[in-house]
Amino acid sequence: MDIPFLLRIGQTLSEGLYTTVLLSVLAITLSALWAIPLVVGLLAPSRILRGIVTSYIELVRNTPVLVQMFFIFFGSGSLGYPLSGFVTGLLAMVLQNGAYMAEIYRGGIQSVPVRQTEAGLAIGFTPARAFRLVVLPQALRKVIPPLSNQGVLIIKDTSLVATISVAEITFHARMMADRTAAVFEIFLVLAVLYIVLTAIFSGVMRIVEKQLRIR
Amino acid sequence: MELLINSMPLLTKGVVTTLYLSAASIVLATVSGLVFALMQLYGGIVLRVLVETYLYIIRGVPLLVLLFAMYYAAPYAGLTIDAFTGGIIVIAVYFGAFMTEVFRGAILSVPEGQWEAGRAIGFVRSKILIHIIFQQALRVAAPPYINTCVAVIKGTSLVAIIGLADVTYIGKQIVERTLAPFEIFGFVAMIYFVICFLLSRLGSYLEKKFDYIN
Amino acid sequence: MENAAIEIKSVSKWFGKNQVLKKVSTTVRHGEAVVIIGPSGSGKTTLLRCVNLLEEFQEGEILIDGEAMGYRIDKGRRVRRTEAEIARMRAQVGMVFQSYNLFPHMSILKNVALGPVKTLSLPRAEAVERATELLARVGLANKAQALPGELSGGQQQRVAIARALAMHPKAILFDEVTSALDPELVGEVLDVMRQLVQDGMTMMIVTHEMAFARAFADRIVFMADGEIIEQGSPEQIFENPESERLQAFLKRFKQGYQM
Repeated sequence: MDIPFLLRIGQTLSEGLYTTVLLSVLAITLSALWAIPLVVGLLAPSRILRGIVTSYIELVRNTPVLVQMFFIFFGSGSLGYPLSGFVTGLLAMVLQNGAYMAEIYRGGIQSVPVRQTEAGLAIGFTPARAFRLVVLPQALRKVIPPLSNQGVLIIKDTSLVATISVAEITFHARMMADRTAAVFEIFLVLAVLYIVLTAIFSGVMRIVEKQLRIR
Repeated sequence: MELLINSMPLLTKGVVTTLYLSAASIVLATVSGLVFALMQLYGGIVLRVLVETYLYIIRGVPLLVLLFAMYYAAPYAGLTIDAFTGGIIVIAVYFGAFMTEVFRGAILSVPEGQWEAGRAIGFVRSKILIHIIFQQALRVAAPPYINTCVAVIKGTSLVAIIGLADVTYIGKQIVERTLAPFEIFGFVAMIYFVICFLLSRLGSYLEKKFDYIN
Repeated sequence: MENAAIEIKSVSKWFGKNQVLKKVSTTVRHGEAVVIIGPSGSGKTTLLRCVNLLEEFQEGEILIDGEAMGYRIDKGRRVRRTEAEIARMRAQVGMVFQSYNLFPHMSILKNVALGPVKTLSLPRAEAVERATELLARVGLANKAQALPGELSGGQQQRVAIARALAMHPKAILFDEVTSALDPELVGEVLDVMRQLVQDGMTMMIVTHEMAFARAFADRIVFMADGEIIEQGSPEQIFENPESERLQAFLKRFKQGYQM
């Protein structure tokens, strides 16, 4: 185990670290935001609206992110407005993970028993207020673990944009591997980088979860 | 539209490859998931630590990185493995971890009272697992198991990146030649959709069939 | 001791630092129906579950028909018996649980026949015959193919009793078997138990049903704080309680709820 050598590999790969982190943060945040109107649609009284959102979610859930990325990447090019690899990747990931997060939100909201809403109404809250003050806080606590899980998946999925020439860490690793023979070391370091990134993210989410619990 | 029809033979070959990859990976992942789950639950401290280390690593590393590692490193390690078999093994190892967690969760979800009732009629642990716990765990495992299978099918698309001729790879080749992304990738997406959607429906049907709680 | 189905000798158990059974000793003779009563936390259920080793005990001995359950004394040291031996002995003592614990994925007939087929290695036809007979005995012959989920609590508990009987056990342990039932369903289960007592089955029963205990127990054991405080015939226990603890306990039962 030549540690200095591994560290040098790490340094080279880290040239792509900023991109990986940026893409991850943006993808997670935008997915979480995009999921909000989606879950509103999922729980809407209008059957048509629910149908549209459900169809969208089913569509994205049953097609691979990679295919979606290629679709957007090559598609935008052929339309004359080629999107960069970064934007393509971000767009595809938000479309996918927004759908998953919407389902997570829905699960969280529906897991709060109806009794709670009834209790809120009984003390004179309007339905909107009952939702905001009674249901939402409880749902929030329930969704943190699955959201944290989804975030980890997003961080891992950023590796896919290497295929459309975005210079994040996997891209750099591949570049190195095409030139050197130390492939085992390169991908070992790459794997460790991802483990560290996901561990940091999970750790932060656990702290967030604990903070919410004290209330 | 004409392009699509002309490309059908090629694309069909790709679909067959995708299906084969998926089926093989699912079978392998299911078997290893079951074995590892039992190891983790009943295998003693050493096996448990091994399995949990494996789970921790897979949870933190992208499938693509593992595929690259296999693709680039295998020749150096002296393993003369063709990319196809290697791909199946990597995908199975990756999703085997998820299967492990599905099975473990399902077994643990069966109430303790079932174990006690089994012990009370003189069953040892293995008998209890086989005759009493297994069918009840199956019911709980079915939805997440199907979801993981869908994930496997979608995951096979990544072999396109290491040059394996699955339907995604073929699609990309055609698009790079002909610049008709919407037609071709639209079709590719539709193929995945049909396969995954049908699988999910099958899952729901089986779930209802196994519902003893009625 | 001769004629002892279950011998509990100086059994002690700790949950961490907390001692929940303190050198408990008692015997259940063949054909005897012993009822254990006492406040919650007295250790009565824990003691019952030690008899078929669903709970471990750290000191003492439990003998089933003279054979040591769970642990042997080998050259002065306590050695755990093999899982196969323990399983075999468990089959000799039936148990009925508070939450019935029927196997939801099989018919009640199969629930009752499973033990005989798999543990006693009875031929399937014979086991089914035995199961049918027992279901008739507990009054559920016409529901043999029903799933447990389709039956009421009282019916499920009667199936649980049949399942225990199917193993032709030397004794049956009853762990608060009516506590989880709706009041109007309690009677049908107690009827079956009464019949068993009258048929001479060896039984060790933990219960809150005082009327039943009074009417049908051969002997009553009163436990509190992990110890046996008093034991004797129903007349002795209910008419002439000697210890203060027992007197206080019985008073609370006569008066119902009180702060």
